[in-house]
Amino acid sequence: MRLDRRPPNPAAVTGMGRPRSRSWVKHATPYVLLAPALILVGGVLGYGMVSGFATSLFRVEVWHVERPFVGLANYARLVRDPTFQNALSRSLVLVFATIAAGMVVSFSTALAVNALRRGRDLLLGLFLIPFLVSGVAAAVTWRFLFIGATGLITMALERIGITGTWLGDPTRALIVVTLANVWFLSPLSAVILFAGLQSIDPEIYEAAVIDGARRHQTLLYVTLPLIAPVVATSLVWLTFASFNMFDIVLPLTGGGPGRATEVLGVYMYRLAFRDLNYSVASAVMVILLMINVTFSAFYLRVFRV
Amino acid sequence: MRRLWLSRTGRSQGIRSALAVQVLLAMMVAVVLVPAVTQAQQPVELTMWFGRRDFIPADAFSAFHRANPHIRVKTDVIPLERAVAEFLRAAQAGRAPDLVQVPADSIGPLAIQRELMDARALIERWRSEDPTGYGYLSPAAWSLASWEGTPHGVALHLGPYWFAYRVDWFREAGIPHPPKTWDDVLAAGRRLRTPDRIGFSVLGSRAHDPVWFLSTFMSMGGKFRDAVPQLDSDAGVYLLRFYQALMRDRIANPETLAWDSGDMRAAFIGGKAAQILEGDNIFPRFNAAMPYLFEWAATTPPVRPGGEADARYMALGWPYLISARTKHPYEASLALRYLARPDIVGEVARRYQPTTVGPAMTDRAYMVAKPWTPDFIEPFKKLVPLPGHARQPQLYQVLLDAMQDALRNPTADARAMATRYQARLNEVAAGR
Repeated sequence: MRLDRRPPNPAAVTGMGRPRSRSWVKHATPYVLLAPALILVGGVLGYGMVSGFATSLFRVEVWHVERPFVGLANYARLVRDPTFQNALSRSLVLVFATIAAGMVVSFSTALAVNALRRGRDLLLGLFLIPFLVSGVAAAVTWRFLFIGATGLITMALERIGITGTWLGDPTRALIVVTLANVWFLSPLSAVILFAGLQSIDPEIYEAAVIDGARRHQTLLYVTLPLIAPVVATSLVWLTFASFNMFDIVLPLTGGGPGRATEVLGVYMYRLAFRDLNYSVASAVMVILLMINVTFSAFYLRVFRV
Repeated sequence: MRRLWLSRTGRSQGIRSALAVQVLLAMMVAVVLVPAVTQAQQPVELTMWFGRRDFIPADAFSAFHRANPHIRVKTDVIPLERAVAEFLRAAQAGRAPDLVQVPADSIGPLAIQRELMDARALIERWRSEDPTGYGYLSPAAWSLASWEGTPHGVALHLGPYWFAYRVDWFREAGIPHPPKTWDDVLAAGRRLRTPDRIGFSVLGSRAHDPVWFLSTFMSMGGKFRDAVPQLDSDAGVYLLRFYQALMRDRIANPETLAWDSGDMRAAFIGGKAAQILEGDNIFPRFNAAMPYLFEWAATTPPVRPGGEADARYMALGWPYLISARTKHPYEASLALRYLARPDIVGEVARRYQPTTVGPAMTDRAYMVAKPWTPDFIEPFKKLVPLPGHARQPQLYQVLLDAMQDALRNPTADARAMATRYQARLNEVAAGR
């Protein structure tokens, strides 16, 4: 018997259990698990985006059989088109109004829920209801509230002296669309901000109190800097959801009166499915995508995420 | 004996020869006929897209299936508003239905994309095999299903727009009725409006194609050039001024710009509006709410003073078209012949849209279901299809802009407005 025999090195054992293969499997597992979702998203969305971009470089119109390559001509035509300019300006108004009102509503909701000791989950669940309702159902409900003399809110406003049509007036219709948009999008923004507030260590607030900070100073110099990343996420959500908004606007006003509420989402839908002008609609899609990416990058940079 | 032998032998040979010839003939016939018969009896499945569930006959093709056991028709409902886009997409994916129903003014893109079959041969075969059924169809059945003179199917239903009004309110107010001109409509509207009701119900939103707008235009004598409405004409200016007057004089509802067809109809059915221009298919709902000739009555659309000679009654159509990609064109045409049977199409017409099949429109059951029909027998013969342009959807957007501009700016210069929008219509039509 040899006394200098060393016990076998597990690492040298072949087959299962070899450290190198175990390490490879460990590294590869997350990617493998993510692969189905990535394939689905990439396949559906990615294909759509690439195909849409390609279509925007051709002239694809149902009243022509040929589909010639036109380069950026569709984009140039869009930029000069007053109806596109109108849709872009309406979208910008909707987005900035939604951001302003939406951040106020969602942040104040998040702060209020965060301050609660009991019923927090229930209240948060209730606040989420508008987001869980379908956009079409929400739009139809808002239409009933403001249409004609029998709309609930119309009647209430008339009692306090605010008369006149709401959905028949271009400015007021845009206000109604904005209110419906804020109502629909703010809940998720509130949940995002609430999650950020929850992540703040309470001892930081205690330290601030000890240092003599007042409530508004705590909010400005403690809370907001600490939740900056989630504020950015919330802004990204409010911005791109508003730019892409379609299912609230179409049933509520149809883009009217006139084209007062014809935002980019409705404009793109009309180009593609009413005018059957697929290539110009694809160009609108690309422009919308670039706008969303630009805003998102801006927020993430400003809030240093 | 020899003769007898010869006879037998000759007879045998003759019989054998005759038999051989007969077998050969039978084989030749079998080679030709059996495949044809076999093919004819091979199960055929047709897919047909209807634009509304209401167009599907009540028996859902069960009589057709019994008469043609080897043919099965599978139906689906693809809304008319999406039918063209959905059909083109399906065709590009190789999944086009055999038959599709689209609005008649939207045939252009499908024909230009060569997705529709030239149905002339099938129609000729229809005429030779079923002359009676073929003879029932009015000329509109073919014109509404044609693009640049080539028929692609058949239109079994068409929808005229007639003028309805509260005859009881007219009588109470002592207003002569029915209104003969659109000026009479405005005058009656001003007299009949109250805080609780309006003088004329009209939709002003972008929710629908401007077919009410165009029907009014054609009744005012409006004309088309190469299927482009000529808004900068006396009729066009008059039309815009009419819409302006509705808002300026508060004859229409202040919310008109936000009203869709549901709001417009609800106002009349609910007793909140004195007058309306609406499709014949909606009249049953009026009748269900108010008895005809007691509370409401209907007539052909009024005319523009000075434009009487040019006034026309517009009709929409919803033809059934045969796909160029169908593998069973003859069977598809058989399905159309079935739908064109007076008993089948009549059942649909009694509860929904009128038909181009003559006997179905004049039978007693139809008259009972639609008691206003006798008043419209002659006008029905004069219906004119709405002209269709290849860029019809884009023209519609400009017309909606014009309509809404008139509603929003009731004091603006209507002639300048007409000129401006005509320029846009011409640009769109020219593809600029």
